Amino acid sequence: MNKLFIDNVLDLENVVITEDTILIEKLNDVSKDVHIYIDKNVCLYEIAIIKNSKNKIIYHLSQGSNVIINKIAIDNSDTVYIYLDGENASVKINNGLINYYNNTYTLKIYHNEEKTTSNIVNHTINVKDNDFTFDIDVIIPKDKENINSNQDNRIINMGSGKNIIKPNLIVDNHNITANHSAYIGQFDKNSVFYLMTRGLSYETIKDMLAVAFLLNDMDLQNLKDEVTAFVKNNI
Amino acid sequence: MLSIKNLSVATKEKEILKNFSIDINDGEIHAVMGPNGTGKSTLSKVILGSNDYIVTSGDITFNNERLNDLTTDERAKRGIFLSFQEPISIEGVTNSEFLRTAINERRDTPIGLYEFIKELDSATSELEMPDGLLHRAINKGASGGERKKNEILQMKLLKPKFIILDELDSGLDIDSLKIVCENINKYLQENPKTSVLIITHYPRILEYIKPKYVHILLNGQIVKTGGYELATEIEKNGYSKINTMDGKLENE
Repeated sequence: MNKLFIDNVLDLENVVITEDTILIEKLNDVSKDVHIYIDKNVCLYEIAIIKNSKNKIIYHLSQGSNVIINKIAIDNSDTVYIYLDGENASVKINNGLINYYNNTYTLKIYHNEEKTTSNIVNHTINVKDNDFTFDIDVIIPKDKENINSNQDNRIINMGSGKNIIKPNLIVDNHNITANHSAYIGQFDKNSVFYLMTRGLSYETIKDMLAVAFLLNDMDLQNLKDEVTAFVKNNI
Repeated sequence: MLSIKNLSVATKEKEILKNFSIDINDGEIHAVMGPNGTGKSTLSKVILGSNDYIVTSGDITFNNERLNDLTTDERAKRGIFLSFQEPISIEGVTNSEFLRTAINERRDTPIGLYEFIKELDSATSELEMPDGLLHRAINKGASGGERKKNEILQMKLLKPKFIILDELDSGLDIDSLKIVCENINKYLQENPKTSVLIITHYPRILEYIKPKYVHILLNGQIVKTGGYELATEIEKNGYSKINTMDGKLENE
């Protein structure tokens, strides 16, 4: 499998993925427009560890291609477009975001072909008193059938900031499966009490539950320890 | 060991425990029995400092230290353990991570990985629990019985001085109940100063873990205290005939 590593903003360019690829990004303070084209039947596996970004990223998926995005980010205001342009194309997005300032993460998924799939997990911990918004649109046109789309959006609010989730399903066809959910709240108080009865301090529990909440659905391969430390150091 | 004096506890809506008192000495096993909604589980959570309840009066002391102002984790670190009636599952937090952290929070030096795995393997084997538990999230996909066994697994590893068993037998089949109780009794033999508070509707569990005292809790108050035989009378006659049973009425 091809492996790409980007730790310099200047290296973040338009790219065509022609073979199965692992893309690892470690970037700070980035604001760019990037197109990523994925060829037929090719898989892109992305792990992004990012601070302060306001990118516009457009993924173009061809027939049978598969994109898995694991993003762990602090203060993210990206706008991400996913164009599922070929039959059987699929995307899985796991976002684990930590928010300190005012940010809006925008995701627009266009199921432009039949038998396409999108599975989205958007989790954010809003640490201080600023605002965070998830603006998520899934668009399924009238003439496209056998589409599967799922989105799970959750924000844990640790301060007094305003949080908004817009989990939009814009669906014009009946022969599809689509789910969306949204939750804004705090760490589950029963979980906190249970762990405290075992002698864990609230600070330890907060770290533990934050890692679980942000990274649970991610396969981070050999970056797991690094990413876990990244989360704990930034909560 | 544990002393509760004149404890009254309420939620925003109603008073639950009223002037409740109990003394449990080192090595003693006490049972608190009562029908649904009488305040038994509230008692267990209040001892651990749950924020769901307001202590309006009274003191809880443990080994002569007042617990009222301590946080839940501080109380647990003093050696109090609650086996929950309905243990929850926690997604994304593995048994291994949580238990090792909990053990280390009680020690001056962290437990070595080998020692931890050895202790965990031994405890899971004694409880006849499946392999692979280490890397599973807490109680994820576990049955009621597996969750109860996991509670006792945690008890064995955390080595408490005072154990609260809240409706231990609910969700356990008879074979699992025997295994769990054998493990608790073995722990008590190895740690004879450990005290136990059993909270239960039914006397069945008391056949396996024999209490020295049985207290009947009705409407937030202990109305009668007796020996094990009081539990057998409850099984025979129910709670409605409590005044005709053997034992000491609290207002006597």
